[in-house]
Amino acid sequence: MTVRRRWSPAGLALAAPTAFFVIGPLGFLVWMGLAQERADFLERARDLDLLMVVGQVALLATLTTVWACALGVPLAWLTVRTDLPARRLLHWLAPLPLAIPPYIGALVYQILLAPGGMAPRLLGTGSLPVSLYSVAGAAWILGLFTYPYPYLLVSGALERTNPALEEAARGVGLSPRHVLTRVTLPLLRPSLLAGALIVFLYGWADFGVVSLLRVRTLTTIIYEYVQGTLDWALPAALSVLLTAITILVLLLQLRALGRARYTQIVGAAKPAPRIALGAWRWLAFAYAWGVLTLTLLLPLGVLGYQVSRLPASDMGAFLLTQWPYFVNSLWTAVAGASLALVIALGIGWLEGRGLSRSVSGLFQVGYAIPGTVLGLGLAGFLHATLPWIYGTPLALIVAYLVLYITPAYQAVKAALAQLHPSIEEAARSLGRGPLAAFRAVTLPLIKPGLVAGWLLVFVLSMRELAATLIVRPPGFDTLPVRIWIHAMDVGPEPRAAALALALVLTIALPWSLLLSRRLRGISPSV
Amino acid sequence: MKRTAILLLGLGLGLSAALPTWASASEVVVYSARKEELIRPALDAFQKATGIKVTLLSAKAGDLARRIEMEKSDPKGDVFLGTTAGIAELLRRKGLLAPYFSAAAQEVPEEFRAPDGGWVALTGRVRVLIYNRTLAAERDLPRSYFDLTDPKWKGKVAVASMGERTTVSWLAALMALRGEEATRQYVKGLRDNGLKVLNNNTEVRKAVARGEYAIGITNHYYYLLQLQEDPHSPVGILYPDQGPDGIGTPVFSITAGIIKGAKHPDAARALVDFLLGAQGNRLLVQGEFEIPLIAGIPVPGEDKGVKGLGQFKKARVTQVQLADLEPRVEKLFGPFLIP
Amino acid sequence: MELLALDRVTKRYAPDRPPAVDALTLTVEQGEILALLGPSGCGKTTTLRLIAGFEVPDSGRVVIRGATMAGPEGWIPPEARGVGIVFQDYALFPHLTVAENVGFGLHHFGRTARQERISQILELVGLGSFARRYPHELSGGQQQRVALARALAPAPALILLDEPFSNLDADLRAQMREEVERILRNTGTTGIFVTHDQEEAFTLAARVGVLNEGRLEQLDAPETIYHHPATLFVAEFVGAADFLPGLVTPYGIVTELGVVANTGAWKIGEKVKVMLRPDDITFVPSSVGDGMIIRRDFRGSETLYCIRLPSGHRVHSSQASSSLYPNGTRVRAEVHLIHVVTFPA
Repeated sequence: MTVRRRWSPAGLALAAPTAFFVIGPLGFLVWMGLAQERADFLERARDLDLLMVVGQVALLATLTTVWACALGVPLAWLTVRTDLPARRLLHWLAPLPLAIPPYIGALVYQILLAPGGMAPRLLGTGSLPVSLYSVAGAAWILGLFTYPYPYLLVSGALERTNPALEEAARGVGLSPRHVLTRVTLPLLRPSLLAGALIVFLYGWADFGVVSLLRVRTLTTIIYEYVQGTLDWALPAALSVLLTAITILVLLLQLRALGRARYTQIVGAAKPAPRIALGAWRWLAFAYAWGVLTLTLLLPLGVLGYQVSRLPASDMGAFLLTQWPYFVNSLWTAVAGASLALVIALGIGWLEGRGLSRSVSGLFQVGYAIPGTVLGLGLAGFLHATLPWIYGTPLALIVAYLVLYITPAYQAVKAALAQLHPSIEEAARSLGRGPLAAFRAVTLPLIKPGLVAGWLLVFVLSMRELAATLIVRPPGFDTLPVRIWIHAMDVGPEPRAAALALALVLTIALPWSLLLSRRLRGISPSV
Repeated sequence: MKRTAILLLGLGLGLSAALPTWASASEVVVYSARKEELIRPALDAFQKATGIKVTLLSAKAGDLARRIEMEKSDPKGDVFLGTTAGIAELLRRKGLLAPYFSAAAQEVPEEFRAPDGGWVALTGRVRVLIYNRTLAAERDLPRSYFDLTDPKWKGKVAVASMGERTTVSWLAALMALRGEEATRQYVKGLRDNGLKVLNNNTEVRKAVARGEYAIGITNHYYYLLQLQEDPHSPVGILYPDQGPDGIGTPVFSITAGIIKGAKHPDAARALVDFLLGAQGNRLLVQGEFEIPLIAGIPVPGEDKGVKGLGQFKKARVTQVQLADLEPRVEKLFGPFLIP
Repeated sequence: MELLALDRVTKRYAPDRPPAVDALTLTVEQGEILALLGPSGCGKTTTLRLIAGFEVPDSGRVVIRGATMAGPEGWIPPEARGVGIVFQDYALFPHLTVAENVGFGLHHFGRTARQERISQILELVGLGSFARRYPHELSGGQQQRVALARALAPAPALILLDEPFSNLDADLRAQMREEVERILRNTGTTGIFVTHDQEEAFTLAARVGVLNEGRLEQLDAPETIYHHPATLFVAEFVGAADFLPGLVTPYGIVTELGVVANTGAWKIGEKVKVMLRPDDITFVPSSVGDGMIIRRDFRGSETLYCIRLPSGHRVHSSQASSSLYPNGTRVRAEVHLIHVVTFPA
């Protein structure tokens, strides 16, 4: 492999458009935001209580993170390291709530907990002591449906850590509890931090849940101005603020994680011995199923019940009319995932061949742009630069690409990292050109990783709401948009529930595929 | 590789299936801020009667107007349907609407039409108060919007956010009739009195029906929608400021405007004609529980206390006056009208 | 016939660092087995990669069978060089069977020709019955053989082996070394292999090139390298060596342990260092001896003694393993030099 740093035409061909779509919308918003008069902005910032709002969002994100970790981390430890009953089933089910977008979770809990909902009626009170329509309520929902992120990362790390480290700690006389607090948990820190960060950013940039639950955040203010007024400047300025803080958080995380290596990955280490829970076994069992009830069984049950309230024939007729929206969602998500993967693959491959790392760094910015912001910026930017994309479904595909190229790229990179460069060099030395070697050797070996990356982007695109609301062309609604329109127009009634259930089931299938892959281990053993 | 090929094929098919629908000649693209479910019957009837396919983009008025402005050079939409005259008037002043004097529009009172034919009101909505009968006794009810600052109603009043243009129009009406300073004081009084801002009018009607709030400031048809959802809802309707010194109750309108440079101008005109015509307008009025602006169409919900035009004291503001003041309302009160 | 020629090949990875390979010139004859020996970071692997075509030289020329592979006129990619490689980690394709691995470079062959060639090569490396296994089902030695078979299958003019035995256990290593040598000689393949293990280099190669900091210090037969190291670095790196200061006199070079011949034609009065291998030094225990045994290392086939001389210099002496003297024994050390090697002090 040549180490000459240069811009190959292929690299530019892949990198330039993606960079264009990432930088463009942000640049557009900055430009629009600058049109704002400063005094005017400050006055409205004061009226909006902007500082309080930022504080409130930070509080929401923090509460969400704590709650999600409180749900996910003990569950990860229980399923991986203890003799919890039915742990294999639990380990398979635990990540599945990711198939339920949090805004659908919010719909479900509205049906359950809102004043006049199922629970208050059951209890015979008008409303519950703690309102769902609050920061605490939003954090409750967001935590319930994002806990799989810390769960997945921490359980993965627990499976990978070398049990010899814990044995060594036992060897120097630490009690099991001290081993947990002084060895196991510190070793988990990076994965815990990574999982917490994903959840934190989710809470920080969420639109669907906070909007349904009327919690004032930067995203809802932006959306309110976008849908209520012709004003560009204020939402643009707030968008820039929102994105800037997000990027700041990401940079801080890079600094925090950049220093030490914690996970000692061992190839053929024997699995760690399971800890016998003894009498605690059934309490832990109840806890685990409690989590799954709140995040999976109850939501599915409530949606199912809500659907059953409409006569089957009416429901059938309704669903038939919604079929085109389902198709819209499906093919744009498929196209978005495929495009993201192809570009991510190209960049991952070229990066090993002299493509500057700053290019891939640039794409990561896309992940940091909240959907609401991207939608706003992308609509304006596309119309100004590529009007033939604006107002067509291509705009949605571009939005998915910008938002989710990062997970695709990370999947590709992780898969490529497991390949020693000598594998491809061996193919070269045996008479295959760079592309032929890639096709014959690299591609088959990284395929499981690529499939996982594709499924991930597909799932995320299928459930994308905030950006889609703003960039969708006339007559081209997606499933989440329809759910949104129903929920906003009429509330969480049977038809919204039916669409939500359809979306959840569509997402759950690829998700369970993805998860079973993860459990089988993505890398081929050498 | 094979899978990729299938995938690409599927993509191609998806695209080719989706493309023709944008290019179809007998089509009209409607940018509608109206609740989709309420407007669908009238649009479906139009499609059935004319064979012109209706492509609908349902979103809030501001979002739609921003699109129309952005798409100025290459409009994607044909007809704009707003929930008040305000945004339509703004668009008209920016030169984004094409004048059209529908013959049927002559039936609509003049104050509900743009002078240059840029937009025309289709149906009317009255800014009423709805109340929960178990929480507010008949004799205690407020007589005026301005009574809502009374400590008696502290924390008991809900209104929809700025995303609902009727909220903005309502404050514009107060400003037109009482002046900016009085309105400012009034809004401050409401906030001090714990006015709750909800996402939209649907939430307002549901919250009042459930008894979370005693009074909702909303549009009259939400009262009927609530009764349609649950005929036993304990909700009542109240026309405020009807007294001799009252400002009267404002009436807003669903407005239709043809977007300038529309790709399907003929279909757009046909749609406006249809919606103002006897059949279309009746469907619209019935489907939406609005009050008719055209004589001869019955008022839905008359038996439940809904009053038609001329049966109550209407606030003396024209739609254009409201539109004039709306940007000011957004600026002054926008930050307070967000949940 | 000259198969490979490197002509002043230079490769620099970063402008601010010394070159990884510095003006390297060497030639390899058809059928020869050459070892490149040196400590880690000496540039031996880079040299291999330059020959294979995985690196582009900054200057100089790589010529294989008279055709320029890299030079001012252009650069030929690895796939067009006809050079086989055995990687340190074998780099077997985990998704392919042994037969598919071996047949990977035979994509230009017809189906039957390919099958024939695969079985022929697998027989050669003694893996005939493993054709349908996957790499992870094989032992380390077997994987190594598959890697060799895969590299040999397209009958390359030249085969490069990068630390080929470093992943094997010690006993397997000797066995594989013999086997690789046999296979290379039987097929008449020219081989270049890279190692940091001198024993490996000496037993396998007809000529050994010693590399240090990107430069070729010496390229000679193993005996010459050992007995007549051209530089101080080679002397120190290859085999154990002590150096005693010496003064050149008309009668020879005078050292603490006696006079040795001035074979280097040094001028009288010059100060030099005399290289002493452990097998050049013998000693006899003597109560009046001025040396003292300060350390004894039992090595199985020999015993290595460290003797401190009155000047404080230490020399090592290799003795039969039956020899047994405790630390602190006073001895008289003697030098029996057959090859006198001297360096400027």
